[in-house]
Amino acid sequence: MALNGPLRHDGAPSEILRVVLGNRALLGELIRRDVRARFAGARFGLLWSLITPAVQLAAYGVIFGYIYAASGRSRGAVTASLFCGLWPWWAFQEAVLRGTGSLVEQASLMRRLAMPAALPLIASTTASLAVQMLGFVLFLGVFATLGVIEPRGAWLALPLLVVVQLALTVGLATVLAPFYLVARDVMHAVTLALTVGFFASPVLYELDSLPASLRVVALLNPLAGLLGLYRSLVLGDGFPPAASLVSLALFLWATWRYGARILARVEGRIDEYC
Amino acid sequence: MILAAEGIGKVYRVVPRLRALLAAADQHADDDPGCVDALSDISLHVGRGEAVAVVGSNGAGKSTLLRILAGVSRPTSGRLQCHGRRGALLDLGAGLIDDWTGEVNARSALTLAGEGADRLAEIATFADLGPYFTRAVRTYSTGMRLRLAYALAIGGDPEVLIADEIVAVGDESFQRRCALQMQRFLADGGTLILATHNLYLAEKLCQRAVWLERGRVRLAGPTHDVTLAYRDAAMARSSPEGAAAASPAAEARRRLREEDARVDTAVVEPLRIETARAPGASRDVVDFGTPWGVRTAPASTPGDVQQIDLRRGDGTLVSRLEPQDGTLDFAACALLPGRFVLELREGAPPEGPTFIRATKTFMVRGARRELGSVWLEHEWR
Repeated sequence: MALNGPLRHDGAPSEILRVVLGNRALLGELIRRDVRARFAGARFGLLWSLITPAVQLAAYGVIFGYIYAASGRSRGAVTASLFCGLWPWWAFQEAVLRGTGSLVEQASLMRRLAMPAALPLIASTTASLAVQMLGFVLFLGVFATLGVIEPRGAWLALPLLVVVQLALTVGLATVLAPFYLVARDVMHAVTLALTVGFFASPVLYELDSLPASLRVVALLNPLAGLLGLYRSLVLGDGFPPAASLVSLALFLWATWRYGARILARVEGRIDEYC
Repeated sequence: MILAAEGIGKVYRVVPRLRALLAAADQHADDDPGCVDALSDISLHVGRGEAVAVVGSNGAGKSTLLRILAGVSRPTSGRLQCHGRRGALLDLGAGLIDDWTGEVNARSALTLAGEGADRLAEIATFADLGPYFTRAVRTYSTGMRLRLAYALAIGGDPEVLIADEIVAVGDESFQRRCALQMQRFLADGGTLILATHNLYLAEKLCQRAVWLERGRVRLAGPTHDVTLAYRDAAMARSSPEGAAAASPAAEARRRLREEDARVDTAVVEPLRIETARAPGASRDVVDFGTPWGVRTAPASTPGDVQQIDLRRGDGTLVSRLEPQDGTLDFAACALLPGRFVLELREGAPPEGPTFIRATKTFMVRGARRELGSVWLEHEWR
């Protein structure tokens, strides 16, 4: 197969899209391979991607719905809000971690098969996100059936939101994966940053519940805009503040702009690091 | 010209720099101690249907060059052009997923290579895994893994095959099939670039050869000329003089040995070679077609029987000789140029000579280019 070549050395964001569009079949197989490899040998296979977050969601639901009973809100509303914060966060967290490790993880394959570095990176993030969002949609159906969340026509726009989240994680991974190739400390730093990010983002709480001074800082977090969009779209909450969406847009622009450039610098040089 | 490499160089950083990701170009000085020049100024032009061998000792840069030619590694300097579909036999076993069956791995590899699943049967036949083809790869032996990996690597029907040490794969029967498959590939007009330590295979398959030494081309030309020069250099390195030249430590050891020999004149080599050129002296080199002989010490235990095995450098037995009283002489060396080993075995009846008392490695030098171990006098009528 004639590969639609690697990123040029001064990589532009459009280069990544060119590589993706030019190698759709290869990317598709890499995604399938990633998903199947992750659950190979596990008796419950893909079910684990549902069981684990469901158990965690139940635990958080009990803590916030019963132990720290939120004032003036039903347990169902608390669970629905947690669901819209936690599940997209897990999808983000897993996709960032797997995207960051993708080049190192696929180094042996890339030493045998000439392929643009963007492909295994995008395959890993897409596979993680796809599996997690499959669980999100399934549980959304369950909650709708149980009457915890009221079905809304806006749900049809959910795929667009998933594309935005994919763009965010791919952008971040294009910056982080090359650095992880060069210095293995990066994964420790990313894990730590995600732990901090979990509490610094409106995952377990909503922006409105923050004191005004903290709220200004929280608006700079691109995840605030993303999670706000999930709650707005799925639950019908108000639209997230414009500032949080600007942060999200700026973050997307910066990671794609510089990520493509950084990724291009390790193109064809995997053997120098692994 | 199907493949052209011009002035290829590859520099590895001992400790990769984060800075390299931020700067537009990762500059390095020629004498930077943090850099290793794996390849310098390599140019190679390969025509369609040609077979080129890349020879050289370990660390000479063969695998690095092949990775660059295969397009999986970017050269630090130089230009590479390839006008054909490339297939690479590099890092065999890389990319296999242990928990998948051989069949699922094969399907995935075919898709990644842009091939249809119709080649699956061909891969199964070639890998010859029997019922194991549908079992998880983690249940495979090392040889089975390699057979599957090899079958997958050649499954892409390439125009240019870039292969690294293919003959080290699998058992003897599989190696024979690999060699036959390679010959078929060439007969069908394929182009081959083969890195190997097996000079016999290089001579058999390739018209041209490139000898790499410390990342540079030491010699390039017709395979026989290159392998002859390479053998001579290897022989010089393995001789006591060559070893001495190679390292000060080896030189120090040689001096100590000489001093020991002077002190204890009773030390006798149990197995040595003499030639007409220097009667009485132990030799490591025999010229093809010239008289030579083997000298053995008496059995170390009275009553033991002796036996001498003459083997090719790769261990193949050429002849077994039963020493009699007296000396063992050959009127003319019929061994073809290459490396050989003599093994002196001893032992008491009834087990016979099972204990290896001494070995002697020697080179046969000469201009003959026939393949094989021994030259048989013959004429065609």
